[in-house]
Amino acid sequence: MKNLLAVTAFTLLTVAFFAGFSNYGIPQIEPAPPPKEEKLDLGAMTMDQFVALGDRIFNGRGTCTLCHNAVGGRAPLLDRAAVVALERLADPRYQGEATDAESYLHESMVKPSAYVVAGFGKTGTNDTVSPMPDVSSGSIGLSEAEILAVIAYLQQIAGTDITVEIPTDAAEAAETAAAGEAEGEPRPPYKTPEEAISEFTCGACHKVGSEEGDVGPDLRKIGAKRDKEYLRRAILDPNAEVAKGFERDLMPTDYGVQMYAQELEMIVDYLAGLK
Amino acid sequence: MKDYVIPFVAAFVAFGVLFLALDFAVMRLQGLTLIFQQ
Amino acid sequence: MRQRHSGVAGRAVLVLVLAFVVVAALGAGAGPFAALTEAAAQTADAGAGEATGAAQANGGGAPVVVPPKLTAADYPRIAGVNGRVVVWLVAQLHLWFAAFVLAVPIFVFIIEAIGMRTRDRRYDDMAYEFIKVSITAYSLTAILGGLLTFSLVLFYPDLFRYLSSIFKESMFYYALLFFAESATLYVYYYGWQWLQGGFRKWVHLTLGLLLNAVGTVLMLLANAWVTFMMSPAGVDSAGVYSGDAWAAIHNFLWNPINLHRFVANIAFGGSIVGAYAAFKFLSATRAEEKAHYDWMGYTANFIAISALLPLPFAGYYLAAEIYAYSQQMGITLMGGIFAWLFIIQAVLIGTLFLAANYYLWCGMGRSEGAVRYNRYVKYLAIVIVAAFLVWFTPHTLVLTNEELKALGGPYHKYLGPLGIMPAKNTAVNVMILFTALSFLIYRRANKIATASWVRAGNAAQVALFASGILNIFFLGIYHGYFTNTVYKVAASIPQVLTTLIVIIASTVIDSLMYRRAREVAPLRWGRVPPRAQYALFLLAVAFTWLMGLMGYIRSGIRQHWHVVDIVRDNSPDAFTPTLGYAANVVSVGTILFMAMVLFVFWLSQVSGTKTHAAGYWKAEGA
Repeated sequence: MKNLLAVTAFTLLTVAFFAGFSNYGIPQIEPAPPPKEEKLDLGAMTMDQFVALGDRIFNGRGTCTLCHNAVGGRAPLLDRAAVVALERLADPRYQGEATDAESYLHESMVKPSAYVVAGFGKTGTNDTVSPMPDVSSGSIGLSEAEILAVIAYLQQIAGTDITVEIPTDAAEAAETAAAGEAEGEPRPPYKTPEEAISEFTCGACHKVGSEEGDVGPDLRKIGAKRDKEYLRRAILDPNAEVAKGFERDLMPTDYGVQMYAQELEMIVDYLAGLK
Repeated sequence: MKDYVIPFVAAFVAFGVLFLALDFAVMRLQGLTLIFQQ
Repeated sequence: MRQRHSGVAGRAVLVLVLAFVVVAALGAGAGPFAALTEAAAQTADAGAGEATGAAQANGGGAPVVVPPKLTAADYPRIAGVNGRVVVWLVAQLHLWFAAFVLAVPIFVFIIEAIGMRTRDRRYDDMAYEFIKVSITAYSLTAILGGLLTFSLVLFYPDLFRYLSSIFKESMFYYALLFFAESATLYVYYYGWQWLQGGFRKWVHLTLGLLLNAVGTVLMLLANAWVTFMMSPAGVDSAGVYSGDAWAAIHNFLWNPINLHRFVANIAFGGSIVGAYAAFKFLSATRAEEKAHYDWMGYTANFIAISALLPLPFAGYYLAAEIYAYSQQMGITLMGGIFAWLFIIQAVLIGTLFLAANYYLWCGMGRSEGAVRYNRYVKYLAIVIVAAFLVWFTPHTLVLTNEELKALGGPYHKYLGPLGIMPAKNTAVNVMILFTALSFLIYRRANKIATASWVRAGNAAQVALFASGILNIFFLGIYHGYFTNTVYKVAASIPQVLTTLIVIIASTVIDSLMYRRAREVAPLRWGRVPPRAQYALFLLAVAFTWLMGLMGYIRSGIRQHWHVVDIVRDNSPDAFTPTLGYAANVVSVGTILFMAMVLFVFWLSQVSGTKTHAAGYWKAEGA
């Protein structure tokens, strides 16, 4: 009996020590509460309020500061991003589709691998693949309006003019995003498979045509190995089946939104013919 | 004394070389060099 | 042997009840849980509606599994009960017991095999005693598993419906497999003395192997459900299930968790059995008993430490894979709000190493021959304590504003650099090496080597350790502080390989050197101070608490998601708690677990006691 009591007392003391250290020996950080889905009343917003929204998202549910901070060197600092954007656009390595700072910032958020700042790419990809996720999907899931708010915020803190227009309602903002053009007009479809493959930057990661990307599988004879159904699925849902030896989560998952159905079929037919 | 020092030095050198070779090989396998470059 | 028929029947009934509960729960929407889930699913009807709608659109094919979109109203409440804490505690308790009952057959199998090889009956008896302890624990595991299933169905019905729709096959076969687990375990234990000698012993050993195989499959299946919630696969980005059960099981984090849990279970199981031996040692009155339990405690400690040594690397691999899967989850884990938990982990691991080494040093007193090594012990202690201090030094300090101004920042000028990974990797490699060194010295304590090359051999050993330690420091300091992040991380691999090579090489050299060694003073089992047994208790409690903490971290990095990126947690308790709160829940769990374990130990003692009740029973022939 004496042993049982002694052992019990010892156990309680030990547990008390660990609990005590955890409560008093280290900082009691209060983690941020789960993000609430804010109802945005865009029609009534001033630009200042829109920028403030961007600030809240940037420091909150956008989880931007998780990587874009001064510690650890994981991601470029963004305090002058809106100005630096112009330098990036002028970089010979830049092969994205943006034409000005606003569209560059937008592209950086939804297609981060379109251009990776030197030194910040995933190891082994030679700065062609970004570790940053697409902020419009997955667990961050920013709406188009929220992305524009963040861009407005970034333009504000860099001291440049704010070129973003507050979308008058969420539906319009979504349409703008789907069309992919600042003017709000649908772009004309690409005419040839080569043009489509070039515009969608497939060659950045795949060996196809004259391109020599080496992040994804070699597509130059893919038609001999894979049928159209596989190829279609691989473009629309790349993570459904990842080829052996390649990593998941590298290929953009939003081609289904970006491509017109006609372009998808054209590319699939073209690839299926590569034997 | 001699029968301790000589084996010690020999073993130290041998293991030292082994470990440096290990370092070099494993860093190489990860696409890096042993001494920092760039 | 005592009559245990009622015990067996009782356990069989329990298992059948458990199987029924699981199968019934899977039929949520039909059967006894229909009323409950329907009442709770009022607002989640959209999800259910979509599912039926989609099924109809399919033309009556297999219903499409669509993830639920939940609101606070979808989580049933019981007055005065915090559902989240209940599920947390029950899951953790279940896991502690499951880890124990899975680990014990692993080393029992090995010990039985050693006994068969050496024909030393003591090994067989010890193996039998280990299995006896785990039999009672097995009932508790099953009870807690049933309670966990109930709790999930009661407090998270929609989530459970989604998960069970995806994992219906594996859950069903998991339940059925318990028949196999029980059957093999009971025949293995109850048939131990029956299946003795020659061919029967081989049959018995094979049963042990089968028991391990079934147990491992059970663990792999349960691991799949848990890792699915962290790294979902087999579903599209909207969470709609494709029907590929293997893809869902074989998700990204499945194998890292499988490896980590397999090794960790052995370490944890060894420590609990060590606590059992320690408890029995303290209660023993006769010298042979003390000797028996001392030996058992040493063996258990040896098992625990052997499994502990590779564990940091299995853990590192798991963390690396979490990072590879989702950089966000990885950064939250180690650079964000969970980072401070790893300082607590450091304290726990330091405790484990100190306790294990202390036990070894105490144990050296079993042989008079150890006296000549006593003077080295203080140096080992100094190094291990220093390594522990480095290991648990934080990088960022907790300071008030005045202190911040005085210090000029949140980092200490000299100690701050000790807070980053290279320093910690160096420290842990040193701790592991010196623990291995303690073992080496302990093994030598009662022997004198008769090989002709002893001086050279010792010189080689010292050179091995010296060059190994120098290499570890070189990799830690040069690559840690004078290169960049990529080099820093990459250098940790050769660092750990150095430690492994030194351990293996020194073991080989020593075993060659001590072949045909003379025993200078016999090892007297039982001759060890009581405080050594408390070291074994410390080991068990620390392992338990550490496992609870790590379980919280693994689950918590999902933050406000039930299934990451797919099923959002919108319950009132979705918040990530403060570290103190989490530590308190883990502490309560640890106390509950230790209480149950002490109950199990006490039962094993009581089952051997007979009270002679004079005058109670009718006289014979009356």
